[in-house]
Order: sequence, then structure tokens, then C-alpha cells
Amino acid sequence: MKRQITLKVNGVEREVYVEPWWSLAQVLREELGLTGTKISCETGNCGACTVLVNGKAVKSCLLLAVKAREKEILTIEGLGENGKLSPLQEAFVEHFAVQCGYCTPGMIMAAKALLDETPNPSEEEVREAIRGNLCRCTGYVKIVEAILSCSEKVKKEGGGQK
Amino acid sequence: MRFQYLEPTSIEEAMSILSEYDGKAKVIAGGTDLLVQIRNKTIRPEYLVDIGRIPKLDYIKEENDGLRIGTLTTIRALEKSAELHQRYPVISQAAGQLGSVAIRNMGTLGGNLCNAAPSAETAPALIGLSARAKIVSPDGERVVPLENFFVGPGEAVLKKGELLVEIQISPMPPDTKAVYLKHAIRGSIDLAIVGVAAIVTLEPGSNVCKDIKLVLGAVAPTPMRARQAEEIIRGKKIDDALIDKCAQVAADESRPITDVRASQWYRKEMVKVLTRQAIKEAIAK
Amino acid sequence: MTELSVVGKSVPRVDALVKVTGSAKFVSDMKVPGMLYAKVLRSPYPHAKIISIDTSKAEQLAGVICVVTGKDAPERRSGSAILDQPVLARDVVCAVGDPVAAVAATTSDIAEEALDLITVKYEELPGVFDPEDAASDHPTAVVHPDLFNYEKGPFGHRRFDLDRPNVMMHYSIRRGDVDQGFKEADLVMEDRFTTAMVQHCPLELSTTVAIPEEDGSLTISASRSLHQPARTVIRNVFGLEPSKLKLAMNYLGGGFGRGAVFEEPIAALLAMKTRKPVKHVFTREEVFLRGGNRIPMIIYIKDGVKKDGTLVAREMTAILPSGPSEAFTGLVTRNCAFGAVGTYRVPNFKLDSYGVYINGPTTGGFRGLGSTQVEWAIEQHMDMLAEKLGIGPVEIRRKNLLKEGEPMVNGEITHSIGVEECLNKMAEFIKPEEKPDGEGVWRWGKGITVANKYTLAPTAGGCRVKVCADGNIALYHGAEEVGQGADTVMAQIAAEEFGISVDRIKTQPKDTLNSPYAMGACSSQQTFIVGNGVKLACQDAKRNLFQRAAPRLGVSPDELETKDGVIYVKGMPDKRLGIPELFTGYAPGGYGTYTPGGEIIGNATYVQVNTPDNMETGQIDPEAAARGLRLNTSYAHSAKAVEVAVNTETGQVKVLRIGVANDMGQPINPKMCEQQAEGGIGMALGATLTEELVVKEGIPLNPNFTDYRMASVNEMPTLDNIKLEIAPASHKDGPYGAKGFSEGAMIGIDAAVANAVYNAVGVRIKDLPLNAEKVLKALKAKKLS
Repeated sequence: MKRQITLKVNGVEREVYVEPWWSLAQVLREELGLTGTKISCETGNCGACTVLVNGKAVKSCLLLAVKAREKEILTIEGLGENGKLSPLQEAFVEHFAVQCGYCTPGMIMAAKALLDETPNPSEEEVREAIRGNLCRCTGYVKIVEAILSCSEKVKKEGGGQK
Repeated sequence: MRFQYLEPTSIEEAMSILSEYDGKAKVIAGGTDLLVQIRNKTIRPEYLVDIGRIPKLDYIKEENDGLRIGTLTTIRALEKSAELHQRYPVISQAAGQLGSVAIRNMGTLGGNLCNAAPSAETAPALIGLSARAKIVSPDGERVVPLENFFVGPGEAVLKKGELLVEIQISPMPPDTKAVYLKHAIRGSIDLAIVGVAAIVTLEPGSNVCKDIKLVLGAVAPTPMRARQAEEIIRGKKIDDALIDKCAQVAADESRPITDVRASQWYRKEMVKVLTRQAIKEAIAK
Repeated sequence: MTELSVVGKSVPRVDALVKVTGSAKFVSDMKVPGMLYAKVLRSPYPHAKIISIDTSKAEQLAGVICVVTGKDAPERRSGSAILDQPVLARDVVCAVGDPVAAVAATTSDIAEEALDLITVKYEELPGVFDPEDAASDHPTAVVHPDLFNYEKGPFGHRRFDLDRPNVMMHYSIRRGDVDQGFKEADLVMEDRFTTAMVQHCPLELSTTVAIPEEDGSLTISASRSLHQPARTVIRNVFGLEPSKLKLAMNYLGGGFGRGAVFEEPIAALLAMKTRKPVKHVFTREEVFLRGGNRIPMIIYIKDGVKKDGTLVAREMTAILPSGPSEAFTGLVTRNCAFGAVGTYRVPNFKLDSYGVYINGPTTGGFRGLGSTQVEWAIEQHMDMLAEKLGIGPVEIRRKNLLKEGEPMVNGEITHSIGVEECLNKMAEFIKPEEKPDGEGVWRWGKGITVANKYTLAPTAGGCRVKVCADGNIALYHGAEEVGQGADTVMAQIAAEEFGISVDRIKTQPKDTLNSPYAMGACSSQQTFIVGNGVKLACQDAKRNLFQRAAPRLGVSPDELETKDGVIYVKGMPDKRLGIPELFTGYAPGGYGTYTPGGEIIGNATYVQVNTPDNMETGQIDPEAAARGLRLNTSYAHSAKAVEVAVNTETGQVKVLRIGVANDMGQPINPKMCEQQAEGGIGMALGATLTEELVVKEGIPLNPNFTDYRMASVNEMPTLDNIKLEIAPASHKDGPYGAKGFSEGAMIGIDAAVANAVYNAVGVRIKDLPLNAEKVLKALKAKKLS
């Protein structure tokens, strides 16, 4: 039987009716129309569903929506402000880190979790952070370059980015 | 994939629900293993009992008689814990080899152990440290050596209404070093083909092995102690030849199967390689 | 050649913005009012009779609107060269995953529940799983007993053999006399190579949304490439007139050739029956079963060489197993041969390739279209020959590379071949003459290869261009944006032609009805074919533009040029007219502007003709060749070089360094070319080291991302250890000299790794994947011998 829950997504509280077996990824996409988060492998291997919950990267296809109550959920749609891209989003554009674009939201969220915790990651740390995010198009090269470029940006801008 | 979802807010409530729906209910914590199994239709529970809202089950604390880790402690917390890094680094090391960051953020120690996969990354090191599992039931509580916690692939020792609440580890003896190695094709994101934990205690100032625990993962229906291999080394002066012999015996003792990830032959070879490497690394520390 | 201002520059991709914000809409994101959700019940057996199907319980489930089985579907089958794929199985299933029944329900939960309520009784039949068994004249089972009566499909190739009931295609190339050649050779070697079944693993799950329109027509959005061919196939199945079916084109979350197996008819059937929009999302497992995977080829190769390394004779046999849907395997059976044609000079050449049915998962189009597997064999064999002769891997290749103007083994005259410079660059990068050492249990080794990938012909690509009142250009083309950057390439070409910036090119929504024809993202053709179409259409539009402007400037149209939205008289920059000034018509009442004389548009279709090959000799007409006609549109060339570390205790292979040099004629967007080069490396390393869809007796054991191991970032060398080079050899017919190369970006890396492993530890792995277990086994065997 469906139950009503409140999810706080990108700073906004949203009421939804969900079945207990629905994943957060499903609810974001189907009930809230936030289709930036993708469902791809359904077994927690590919990372296309990565969102931040209380600042930590999680695979939202394996997180039951009902478990995500009373938590701060951040999706790709929550990045950037007033139509301006976030530094990571800009970096992905500038560094040609985007091809088909399907892994991109998950990648950016995983990268954001890394940079929030480790503002100046080494290449090794970037690789570790996106290990659980699969990409078929890019070979990961420009994705790693884009993320590394943001560590310098943070240095320049003096920390704190969305 | 339909189930009823229950969220007890106390251990008592959880146990009562598990007793009432025995055989029809599954406990969910992080959900990273459970939900995949439900989607694959490997299991079809009617009730999911989410213990995530029970307070005070998420902790890593040092007490006089050793370390206590709450069942809801995330794998990531184990990986990052400064306390563990200092005193029981092998636990952090093992945790860090499980999946990817996002999976480690969600998965819990209790979940990894109760899922009881033979390849569970946290099991070998903890068994090697002689960890104990504190289990509560409607009739009281019991403490079980972790070595006896696993009954078969996917089956833990928990009975009707029981809940794993804590893992207890006695202080490591002096001059003891522990290493956990996992062999997997793409590294941490893949299931272990073979896991080996070596906990070696040396006689002070010498190369003589006072005690050794060797625990193998993914090569038997449950994580297993390689007791015959341990006998080769225990009480003796450790040199390369002895390590090689020990590794061979560990491989012979292991009982891996052939599956889509690796053949029995390859797994035995890797037991040999990893056992040798783990002991050498432990001694070198 | 005039200086280019936009083409050749790394302008930002036109689709990057919507993709980094998550607002790019893929078919899998579509939601339409009143939409129903479809789920499909599939066969668990590789070969079985359907005894009975009971759907009554499913039909009664609340929320289920429609349940269909084979008897509800049209009799006509879909297929590419052979109509062999029923919409839903009728009396027999021929593969695990064959669709047996489908449900449309108000929610996907209900649809899934309904599947559990359908009861199917099967009677298992013996299956044929080994390709060589299947290809024989007495196979264990016959997949399509009535094959010889099957209708011909709209494209691809087929050639039956009355004695071999599972063979559906046979291609041959004959040149010279190989027996004589082997007699003349100083060294003859023969070997057998195989590759594993590999899946595209596109991140976007295959999805179909079928929408019945008010006028009785059908609009289908599907996550696939090759919309135009799909339209033909689907239309054919349902007997729809051309105007009654429209395929809308969207961003695709990864193409790589998936979708050769047409499952869109299932959603279409449900939509037509329910008169409601129907969305069918594949599970990941369904993508593995129905994606049309890379063919696990068996390749026999026999080479004869002179002492100095000159190739004298080459004989090859390739066996290509296909699941019960031929799905482009016939095409691949013929076209894989070009992998053996495009690079080397071989005076005596014999090739036979056979496409055969087995009761296995579907195979079909996959990046490389068979060239990858054929070159896996050739590029290892070249190294093996070189070693026996005591000459280096670079030297033996240099000796035998085709040169501009030379005939290939099928008579086509070589044009635009940058392979030698690619090889030189890679030789410089990897220095194969300096054998590396190792440390501890790791031994290092180096390997180098060359590769080619053709772009097929005949084919065509059209374009329509409209000049807008503000000087912007509305661009209508049918190129598919599957992540490779096609939209950006076309916009760059249009921008170059009009002398404006890329952001002033407005690419219009695409569908098969409203967009000019393009075959699709297949055979690395779009830059060349549609690019030319865009170029020609822009030139046509400019002709019309100048005709319109000329009287106003008092000159003849051919004295005019345009830049930045302004029309100038050549050599007299002050004599000018802004494009908006042409839109001087006012509607009564002063609303809006128009151009007197009608819209200013350009229209063109670039048609790449070819001269055909003889299916039994592979040869083209020498006179046509002499006149400059080709069999294929173009060949892209490349060289790859790797340095690996092999762990002698575990057999693990780590790629330490990799270099690739690609010849793509003229990079339209250099950074995007890098994207392809890097992506090709990632995909190739996966297919080389870790990927295999394991199939035992027709049953796939790992159709999921847990046990099917795609390359993660971990499998790639670090940034400093990846070297990209280009050695473009301009193509006279390509737009600005460009040719497509995305498939070629992947070819040759597997053999380079295998060559490097041999260089490191002296074991040669001839069967993909080149995994740790195989290496360790070989090392142990070597130790014993």
C-alpha cells in the first residue's frame, strides 16, 4: 500500500505517494519529474543513479525512497544557481568530458562528493571516487581531467562551491 | 518485488516483528545486497524490517576489553575511522576494498556479515582478530565467535527473532600485524575471487611465529580458517620456504568452486599467491 | 585551400550544456499522458517447442489492459537481410530471451506482476551451440528448418548453402593463387583465433515509446540508431504505408551499433491494440539478451611470407555465429572481410566467411562490424611471422602496407591511407626495439599494431537548410547524435559554409518523416556522408541567397559571398547587404516579416555510389576501379601501441602505457576526435581484458553488470600514460577531406595487448578475453615444457 512521505530534494520539500519497494531513483524520475538521475544497471554497479544524501554519494537505485525521508537529497538538477553552471558542470563542458551524456549526472555528483570532502584530490583520489561510475563513451580520460581542473578552481576561488 | 515495509524504532520492536514473521521477513540496513537479491528474485520476502531507525547501533568505540562496533556502522565509516587506522588498521583496509565509495556509504558491517556471502570482505580480517558477534533475541543475548557465525552461503547463524547488534574485538596482542588482501578482476568494485587475511604474532625481537591466524574468503561455503596452513607456521621460525609451504597447504585446504568469475584451479592458485603475500606483508610491517 | 575558421577547431559541443544539467531528454526519460507500461515474458530455454500459453490470469489482473502472444502479432517477421524474427514467438523459441508474451498495464509494477501470472508450457529441443557444429552439413540442430523459404529482408546480405541448413551467408574473396603462393613462401604459418561475445553496454537501457496518433498513424521513439532502416523493417511487419509510421530521433545514451534486433514491434503492437501510448523499457538483462551483441568469431589464418617479410599468400576462414535473428550478421559476414583488405598488400589472397545460426543470444551490429575480430587475428599473426623471421614488428608491417593508388585484394584502388605515418608515430612512442624489463613478479612488454576500418557504400545523407530572418541558419538533417558529436560536426560544417559561429546554427528536431534521409550512425559514416550533405545543402542555400541579394547589389550572384550574416560583393567589403534586409515583406497590419520570393532554403542529398563486388570472388570491376569508383566510401587507418605489465604469479595484465595514432582525413573538431580515440581505448581494453558474456549451452550466465565486467576507470592507464596522435590523410571526397574513424579507434588494441603480453612473458593468447586465468595457465604450461 502506498504511503505519503516527504522528501527534501534540492532544498525543496516534496510530498509523494510511494510504494515501499520503489527506489529513490524511481521516485525522483517518475514522481518528481527529475529525470537527470538515471537508472541503468539496477544492481548498483554503474553509478548512473548517483545522488548525494546528506552530502554523501549514494546509489539511489539501491536506496528505498522511504529510507530517504528527513535527509538532504541533492540531484544534478540542484547544481548551479540561477541558470549559471556549477564549476564542475562548467569543467565537464570545457574539458569535453561529455559524449552521450547518460553517465554524466552520476559522474558529476560523485565528483562533487569527492571535492566537497577532498578539495584538492590527486589523480588517484579522483579515480577512486569514480570507480563505481561506469562510462562507455569516454574512456574516462577527460572526465578525470575535468574533475582535477576543479580542484585548482577551488584553490583560486578560495573554497566552497555548489 | 512487493513487500510490506516496517520500521521498528527499538531493538525489542525489531525482534518482536522478526519473531512474528519468521521465515517471511528480511532485515534491511543499507540494502545494497538485499535489494539486488529481491530484484533478481533470489529471495521474495513478504516483509522488510528496516533497522536503520533504531538508535545507538552505529558506533566504533574502544572499551577496556577491546573494540566494539555497532551493526549499523557503515563500511565507509570503518574505512575512514581514525581510531581503526591507529589500532586495527586491517579492518579499515578490508572495508576500503569493498565496492565503491557510494556502496560503502550505504552498506553496513552488520549487513555485510548477515548477508553471509563466502566472499564477504569484512569477514576474514575480523575472524582472524577473533571477533565475536553479539546477538540479541527475545530470550536474552548471546555472543558467538564470528568464526561460527556463518552456516553456509548466504546463511548466518541467526535464529528466529534474533538480531546481530554488535561486533566485539579483543585488543590485538603485542607484536601482531594483520593484512587483508582481496583478489578481484577489476579490484574493489568486483566480488572477491579470493580473500585472505593473515594475522601474525611474532615472538618479540625475532622471526619466530608465536601465533598466526589465516582466514580465507570466497573459497568455501563460508569464510574459513586455514588451520592446517596455520600449523605449518605456528611456533616456527618464518622463512620464505616455510611461507611457501604454508601457502600450498592453505591452497590444498581450500574448497573453492568453479563459477562464472573464476575456476576452482585459479582460486586455489590465488589462495597460494595471496597467502604468501599476506604473510610477507604482515611480517614486513 | 582557404583557411578554415570553424572546421578544424575544437568548438564546444552543442549538446554539452543540456547533458551536464541533466535536462537532455532521452527516450528512457519520456512520459506521455495516458501512457501504459509494457513488460515482456521471455523464453528461459535456448530451443524449445511452445506447447501452450495461458494468459487468462494475467488478463484478469486489475490494471492490465492488454496481453499479447504470437497469435496476436502479424505473421510477417522482422529482420535485416532475412525476415527471421517473429514479433512474438509462435510455435518455437530459438534462444534464451526470445519474446513469448507481452503485457501493457497502467503501471510497470502491474505489468511485472502480470508476467508472473502467464503460464507457458515448453518442450525442450536439442540445441546447436558450437558455431563449427552449426556450420556443418549435419548439425546437432537446425535453428530455422524453413530457412530457404524465408522472405528476403530490406538490407544486408544473405547466401544460403543447401547442404548446410544453418548457414545464412557466405562471402568469398579470391585473388591470385594461394596454393602457388604458399609454395613460393619461405615460411608458412597457420593458426586459429577466437573472440568472445561482447555487449555494447550502452548506459541508456533500450526503450521504446509507441504512440498511436489520431489519424491512425504511429509515432515511435526508440533508443536505437539506424532509425531509417528500423522504419522500413517495422513498417514492413505491420504493412503500414510510409506515411503511417514515423520514428522520432532523440539523444541516445550510447549507440555502438545496438538495436540490430528489432523489438520495437512489440510496443507498437500493444499501442495499436490499446490505442494508447506504450512504453517498453528493457531491463539490463534484456539488453544483454536482445542487444545484438558482438559476434564471437572463429578465425583461421594461414600466411606465407618471404624471408624478408613480404607477404606472398594469405588464406582466411571466418565463422560468425548469430542468434536466431540474423540481425546484420549477414552484413558483418561480408564486411568483416574488409578488415583483411584495407591495410596490406597480399598478391595471393583467399577468404571465406560464413554467417551461421546457433541457439544463442542475439548478435548483430557492434562497433567495428567484424573488422575488429579479423584484425585481432591478422595483427597477432604479423608479429608471429616477424618473430620467426627474426625481423621487427614495425619492419614487417612497413614492408607490406598498401600505398596510395595501389589495388587492394578486391581490386579497389587505395586512396587516403595514413597508416604508415600512424605506424611511424607509434614506433617512436613505444620504441619496440627497446625491450623493457620488469620488477618483482611483474614483467613488462611492448606491442604495436596497425588497423583499418572502412565506411560502407552505397549510402546517402541529405540535408535541408533555411536562412532565417536574423541570419541564423535552421539546419535539418537526419544524422543521429549517439554521443559521438554528430550534431556538433554538422553545425560546424554549416557554420563554416556560412561564415558564422556555431551557436548561430539551429539544429531542428529530427524524425524520419520531417528530416532528410540518413542511414544512421552506422559504419562511421555520418561525418563523411551527412557532412557532405550539409555542405552541399548550404552551398545550395547560398546560391538561392545570392540570387535573392544580387539584384539589390547590382551584381551577378556569383560575385557574392557571405560572412557573419552579411552578404558582400567579393573584394568590395563596403558593398554589402545584411541578411535581415532581405526579409522586407510586411504582412498587412505590420505583423512579422517574410522574404518576397519565398523562403531561402537549400536542399541536397549526398549520394555515395559504389561499384559492387562479386559475392563469390569479392572483386570489383577493374574498369570501374580505374575510373575512380570504389567499393566502400573510405577507410580510416590507425596504429596502436601498448606497454603492459604481466604479473607472473596471478596472470593479471595491466596496461601501463597506451598510444594511438588515428588517420581521420581531417579532424572537424580535434577535441571530439580525442574523445573518440580515448573512448575507443576504454571500450577496447574492456573487450580485451575483462569482458565476456559467458554462454553455456545457449544460456548466458552473466547478463548483468555485476559479473559482466565493463572497463572501469581502473582499467585505463593514468593521464600521463595515454598518448594521442593524429596522422590525417585527406580524402578527396570527404567534407574538407574528413573521413569517419570512430569504430577504427577501437581496432587493433586487443592484438597490441596480446603482442605486448607475448613480448613480456612469451605466451600468446589467441582467444579473447585475454584474462588472468588464461595467462597464468599458459605461463604454467610454458614452465613445464
